[in-house]
Amino acid sequence: MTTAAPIPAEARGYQGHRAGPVTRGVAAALDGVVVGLVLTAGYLTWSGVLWLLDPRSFHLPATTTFFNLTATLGVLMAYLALGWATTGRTYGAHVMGLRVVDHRGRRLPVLTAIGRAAFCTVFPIGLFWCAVSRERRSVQDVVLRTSVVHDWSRHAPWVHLPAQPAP
Amino acid sequence: MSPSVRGVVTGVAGPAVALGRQGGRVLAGVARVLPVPGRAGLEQAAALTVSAVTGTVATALDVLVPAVVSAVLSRLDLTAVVTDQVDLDAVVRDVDVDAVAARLDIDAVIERMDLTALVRERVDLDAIVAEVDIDAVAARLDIDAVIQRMDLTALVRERVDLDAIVAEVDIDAVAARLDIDAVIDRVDLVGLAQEVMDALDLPAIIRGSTASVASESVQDVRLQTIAADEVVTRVVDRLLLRRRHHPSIPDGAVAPLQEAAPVPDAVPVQREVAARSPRP
Repeated sequence: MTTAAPIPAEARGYQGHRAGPVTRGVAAALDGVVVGLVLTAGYLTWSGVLWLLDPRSFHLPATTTFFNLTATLGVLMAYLALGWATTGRTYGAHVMGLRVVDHRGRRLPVLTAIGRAAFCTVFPIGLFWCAVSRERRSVQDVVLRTSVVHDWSRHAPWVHLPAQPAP
Repeated sequence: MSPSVRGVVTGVAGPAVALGRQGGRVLAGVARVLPVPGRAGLEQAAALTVSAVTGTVATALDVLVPAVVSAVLSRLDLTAVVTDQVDLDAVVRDVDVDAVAARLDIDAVIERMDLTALVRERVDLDAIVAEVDIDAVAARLDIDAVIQRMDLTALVRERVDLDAIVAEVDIDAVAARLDIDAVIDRVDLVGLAQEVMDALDLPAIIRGSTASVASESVQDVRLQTIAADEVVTRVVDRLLLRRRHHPSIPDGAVAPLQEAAPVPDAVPVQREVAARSPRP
């Protein structure tokens, strides 16, 4: 059994509430840094492999814009989908105390997580709708019935939940 | 006539009468004993008479003198007479005091005296002690023997306020005189450090402290972004002419979270949401 981290008194009132654009933006920025690091690490790994294969004629591999864009979007989508489908949070959401839940407040189904990741990747501007929305929901949230809520607890709520009886 | 004088007269007259009667009986005896008067007989008779008279007078004096002396002394202040008429100093000077003291039984005298009470009442002990040469006494004292008979540890524990003494000790001065190098030379610093490292999970401590600092920083950032969200929301509400900011609680999120409250391992956020007060 793992004890949840204590939540400061001033933050308890926000637990379960949807996050605003600033918090979500900071989390997205951190996720962008993570994706950038992953891409850099992938590029360096690929370069290292090429150097090992032919050190004498080695030079840094050149990439095309299409490749860069495709790789970035692919990594970003995979990263987001993996985080939301497992713990409900990416690294940026983890740092900022956010969690993505479905309309029942539970973990996103895998397909929903993939769909939301793809939606956020190809239509990121829809995320800004949370700044205008009365309910702080982005276009993706409205379409997929998801929410990004404050959750400073260490573990996902469904981790300890008993199996829900079938309706 | 006082009784004493009457006694004196009676004492004198009685013997006188007895003397006459005795003389008559002596002469009669002489007459009968001496049928022919002669010189030898008369001398013998006279001797007998003198002897008789002398004995009688002696007897009378034995009675008379004490009575007379007693009567005289009763009328005299003998102390005054002695004081005035006797040179006591000369008398005492001629007395052999040593001989008197030699015959004195000092032990018997002391036995009858309460010397302790006597000394307490009559002797100024403070004055005597003030004149005692304590240094000289101490110089002759066998300190080692005295200490040997004492339980100094128990004595110090019972009688000495060690805390007060230690409080007045200049620890800095003591430390200044301390040969730290010599102390360190005797200490196995490497072994000691190894033991400390073994006892402490230093990496865990460093991780814990680092994580604590990082956690506080992250919490500050979270709270600041939450406050920024509130500001943004209010600005947007004003721009869109919204009167009231709508709750940002997910529609379906509350119910499932409430169900998690009875689960012991459920994270606090569910309980917080379940028992949530109006949004701050």
